[in-house]
Amino acid sequence: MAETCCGGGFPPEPRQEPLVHGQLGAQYLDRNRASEAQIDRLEDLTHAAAPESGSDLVAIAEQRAEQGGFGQRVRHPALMLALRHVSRVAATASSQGAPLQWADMASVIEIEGLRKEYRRLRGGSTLAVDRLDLEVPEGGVFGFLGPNGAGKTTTIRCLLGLVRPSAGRVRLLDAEVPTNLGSAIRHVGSIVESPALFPRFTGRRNLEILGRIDGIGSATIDVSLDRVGLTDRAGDLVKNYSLGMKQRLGIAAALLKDPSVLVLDEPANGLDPAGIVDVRGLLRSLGAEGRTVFVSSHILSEIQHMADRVAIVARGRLVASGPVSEVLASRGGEGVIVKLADLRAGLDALRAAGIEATMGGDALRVAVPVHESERVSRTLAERGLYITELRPDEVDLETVFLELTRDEAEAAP
Amino acid sequence: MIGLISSEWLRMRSRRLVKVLAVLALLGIVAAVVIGAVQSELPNERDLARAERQAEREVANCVAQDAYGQEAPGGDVEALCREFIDQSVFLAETPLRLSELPETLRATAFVAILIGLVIGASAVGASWQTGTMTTILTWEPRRARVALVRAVVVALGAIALIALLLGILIGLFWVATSLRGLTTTPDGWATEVVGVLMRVSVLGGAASIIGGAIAMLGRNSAAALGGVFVYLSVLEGIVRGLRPALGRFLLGDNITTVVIGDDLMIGNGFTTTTITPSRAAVVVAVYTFGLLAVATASFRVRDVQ
Repeated sequence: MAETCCGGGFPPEPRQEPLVHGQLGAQYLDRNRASEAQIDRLEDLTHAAAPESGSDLVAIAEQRAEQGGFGQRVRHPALMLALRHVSRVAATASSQGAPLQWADMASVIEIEGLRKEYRRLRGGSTLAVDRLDLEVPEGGVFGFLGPNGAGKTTTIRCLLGLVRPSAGRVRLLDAEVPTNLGSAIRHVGSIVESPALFPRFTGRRNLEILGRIDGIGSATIDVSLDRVGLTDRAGDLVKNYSLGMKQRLGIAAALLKDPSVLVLDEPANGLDPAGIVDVRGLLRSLGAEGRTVFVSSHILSEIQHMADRVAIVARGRLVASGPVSEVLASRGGEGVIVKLADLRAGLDALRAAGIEATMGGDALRVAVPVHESERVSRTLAERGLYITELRPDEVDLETVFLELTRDEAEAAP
Repeated sequence: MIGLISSEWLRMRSRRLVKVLAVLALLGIVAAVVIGAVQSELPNERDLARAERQAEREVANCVAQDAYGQEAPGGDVEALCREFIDQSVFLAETPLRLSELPETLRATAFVAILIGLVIGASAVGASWQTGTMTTILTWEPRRARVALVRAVVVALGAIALIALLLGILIGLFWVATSLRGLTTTPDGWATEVVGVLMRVSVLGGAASIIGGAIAMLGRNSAAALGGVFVYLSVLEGIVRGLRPALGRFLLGDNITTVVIGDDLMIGNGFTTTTITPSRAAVVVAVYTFGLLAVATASFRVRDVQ
């Protein structure tokens, strides 16, 4: 469904045969780097429950925990998320009379042919999103990149049911958006553009007002505030918060629901460098817990450090998607960069040895895999040319991003 | 649903504007009653006796002239005359009278409706202006539910606030008349007081729904307040001037009728129409819930930016 950097969708999961809940959950945990003990615990639990039915495994787990049968380990966040997920998938499959399959768990966000046109008051229209296809797999951090006006926020608004697509289909946690969003939204925490909060209420009161919608109590609010480092300022009016503090409060609000999916639009906006590092760590830890963190950003270095997968949009269209390493490899040179005193002599020496190389700036770009770089240094040394620097020819996300978005702009009519 | 109601209620009672309006209204009530009490002067025995004599002479005149041509129920002309003639009007002094409480409450209707309108318009308008409507919809995406719950909570809040303020007014008025006025009241007085209190409070609630609905359509508090002002003061005035008979369908005349609690005759001297309280209540309800329905339908389909 989705366009990718390399011409195909995400690699299909190998397992397609029907699975029981325990196996599903175990695979889920395995995918999310859970420990053996957690996987064993889930299998014990689900086999002890009613694996063939769409039982509410979370309720069963909590009941077991209370009874002491599984101790506190059953309350581990990753395990609880896995249980929650398996319950949801099981219920959906059960209601459809379909066997449970690993493929059922593949994507938490599915966008197909999304198109959004805004009509202007004076006639005409603006195309914000144009036939966008996107799949976001469960777990980890997914970076959603694009220049200003590329359609990122509009896509997020469509995803959260705030804006009606002109065409296309959006599914979030198996729920059709916007028709069935009500059932899925309780598992989704989000920030759209900048966090919109009640400025004349305190930070805590803001969270209380939102938390009450889902029956969330003060203990959870305390945990959320603590997690974003706002406990000490929770009693201050939000209008007196800095932009960074508002961002933190927005993230705290998004975390209140203990969501399995987080949709965050530019969460690092307004944060100082220390705050950016904190948020990066927080989002990575949330992704590592098994949650899906869908984060849009224009701070590409942040995404490169944080995301497992990325999608790049330009002019409302998807131009690349996939694991970060694949997206980088699609544009990166398979080679090494070499610096030495006499570049011309070095270039001649390498070419004479049958090694493809080009001169660029103050270095040579040599087309050999990194693991064969010894060949390069030996060839040069044999001719009395000594390397001052040798490093892999890596491209960063920014370079890829600029190339892809420039390509798209040039291709546009 | 319960969670959403609880959330909206917490927001409603946390709002500074509501608190400010309540405090201002309370100060106004206290000031008005204190001024009324200070200016109230109780008549002495001699004034009372003189007023009683004048009232008796007037009753005698009334009986002699067959109750000024009025038809006496059951033929008891003297009873009818005594009902018409209030001894207190012959007093030179003007004491605060508990019997005038219903009229005092009716006079507060404009302020009560204004309070309801401001609370409703700002409750919805502020959400659009601060962008918190987006945040709320990421917690509860069923928009009709969000709109209706907010309307109900804001209306109930406005009704409770106005009823509380009027209750305080009644209490202070009673204390003031007990200390520096007259506490005699006619039959049915208590029922009338309760009736006015309820009608004015409910009208305040209806005004909050109207204000909220217009703010939902205009996505702005000022749009709601300005829209209501222009409608009531300009549009209805034009319609009333051009087609007096249409007055029975206008919001202003029907609100007035509900406040009065009695038939209201409207017209321009050539044609007159009577609006009954029950009919007026229906018209106000149609305006209120009609606007709410339109605003909710619009909210459901429009994009939220």
